[in-house]
Amino acid sequence: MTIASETPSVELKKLNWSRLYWPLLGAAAILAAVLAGLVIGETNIPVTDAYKTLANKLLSAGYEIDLIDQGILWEYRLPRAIVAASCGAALAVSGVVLQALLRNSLADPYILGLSAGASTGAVLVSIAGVGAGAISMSTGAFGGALLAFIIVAGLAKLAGGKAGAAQFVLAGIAGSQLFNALTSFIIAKSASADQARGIMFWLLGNLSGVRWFDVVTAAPIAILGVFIVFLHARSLDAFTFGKDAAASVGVAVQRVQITLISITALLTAIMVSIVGSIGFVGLVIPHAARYLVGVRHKALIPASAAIGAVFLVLADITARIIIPGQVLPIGVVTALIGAPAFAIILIRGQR
Amino acid sequence: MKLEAHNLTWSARQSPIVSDVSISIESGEMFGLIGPNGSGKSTLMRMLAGLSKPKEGVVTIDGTPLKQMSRRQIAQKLAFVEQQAETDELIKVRDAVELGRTCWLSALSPWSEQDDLIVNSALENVDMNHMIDRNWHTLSGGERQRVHIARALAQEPSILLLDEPTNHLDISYQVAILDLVTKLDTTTIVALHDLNQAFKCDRIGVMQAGKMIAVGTPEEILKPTFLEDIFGVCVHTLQDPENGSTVLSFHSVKDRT
Repeated sequence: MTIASETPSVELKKLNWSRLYWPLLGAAAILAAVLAGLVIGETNIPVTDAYKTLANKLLSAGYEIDLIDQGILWEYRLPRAIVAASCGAALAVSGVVLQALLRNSLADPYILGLSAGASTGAVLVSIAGVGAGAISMSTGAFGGALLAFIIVAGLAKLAGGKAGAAQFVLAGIAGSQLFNALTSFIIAKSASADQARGIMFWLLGNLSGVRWFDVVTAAPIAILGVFIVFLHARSLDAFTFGKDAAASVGVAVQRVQITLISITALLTAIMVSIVGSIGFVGLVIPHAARYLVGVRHKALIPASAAIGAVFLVLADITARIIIPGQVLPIGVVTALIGAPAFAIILIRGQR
Repeated sequence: MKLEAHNLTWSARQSPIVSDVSISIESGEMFGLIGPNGSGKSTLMRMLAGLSKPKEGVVTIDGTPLKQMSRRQIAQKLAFVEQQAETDELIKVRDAVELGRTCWLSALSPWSEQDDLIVNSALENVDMNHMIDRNWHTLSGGERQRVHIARALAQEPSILLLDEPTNHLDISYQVAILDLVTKLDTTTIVALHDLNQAFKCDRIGVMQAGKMIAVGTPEEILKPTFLEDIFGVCVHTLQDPENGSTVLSFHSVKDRT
């Protein structure tokens, strides 16, 4: 009897420790990345100034600090870092969802055309003036992302592809091309030369224009989206052996699919309408996270969110400093890292 | 629990795959489903499991139609093992079996020690408890099938549906799995390829061209004259010298002369 009563408490201790370890590590990594985003830039600002600025702004501490530095930190770098983190987490978790539901290790919002659809929707609203100001750019992007997914899924089905088959990726490529062409068409038809240049830069992924009002949209949506996906962790696990197996163990397959695809489209749309379409994060980060924590979604979802957040903040820092005096579109940086990583996934997928 | 099907019909592109099948399987019964390939066994199983919606007809568990139950409610009563469910994920044996607990878990009733015990005993039942840390892709076909059966057992179902569970298995595991299934208290429906294995069932249903053409005890159904018509082979019965049970032996029809 004594043994029986002791065993659970040992189990409990072990559980508590491991339960706290990963979330704390993840949170610490994100905070460290954001801090790095604050201090590293064209002009490096000492860490102490970053702390003082945060204390001044959040706690009205009243430290003496250069107002220009404080302005750069608070008005530019902090919102930028927070939006980058939100965006990285949202895209990575979207990738996890799509890879699980479609059982395809190459699925992500960018490859399946959701990002392209969101871009088209956003451009339709902002340039072509669809909706006459009554609908926002992010609403347009959401509509575009959903439409793109429906078209891609429909095409994959018509092409006889089951989930997991190459047809889905091929259909995604076709969908991306279609929506990118539509976007270019709208820009060519409706945008002035100045607008066109700005939009092309935005389309490649650009965090330059990010301010606090973007944080107010991006951060809550990312947190809420990741949380809802996390609540579905067990259902996503159940998709491991396919739709039928998921249904057999009690998952309401259709409801889960519709909920999670909508969340994915929403996350992608919001992020695209703020920072443009950023590739490879949704594809590569989930694989990196699986390598670290395994395939169970209860660990995979938070791990992907944390790694995605850290990765995108670091990518943004790189984009700002790699060429002195010039800011690269962040999509260029993620692609430069992501494309070789994609190649590795393709090669390892041979197994 | 009692599983009943009334007038089930299913067709693909106008051609009927299953037509007008009605069966009633008693609580605790082991019901075998035999018939040539393409006779509609798998489609019937999928309808009984609630995975395919019948074009016509209803399936009921203890009188309640499946379509009035949520997927979760169905899964708590009925477990289904498909013929082959595969994955590319690097999932471990124990993780795969734990999936069976999905229908019993929620935010309010999270994973508990009770669930661990149920998973352990499911793994023991199929003799996979020594391989819990093995990755899925390192398993043989038979081992994979045993994991799927353990997953189904972890659901603690009252009704178990198995679609050709002994396919791909080494002979020792064919015997072991069938003995295990025979011993279970659950209502069991098992589609079988090997007619000699069907002797272990309480009753057998015979599918041919989408119709259930006969239902009866093994002694009534597994008779040479009857089987010859359905499967198009010449059948002889032998006696097992060990226990005197009947064994079927098959030859192609042209050898008959």
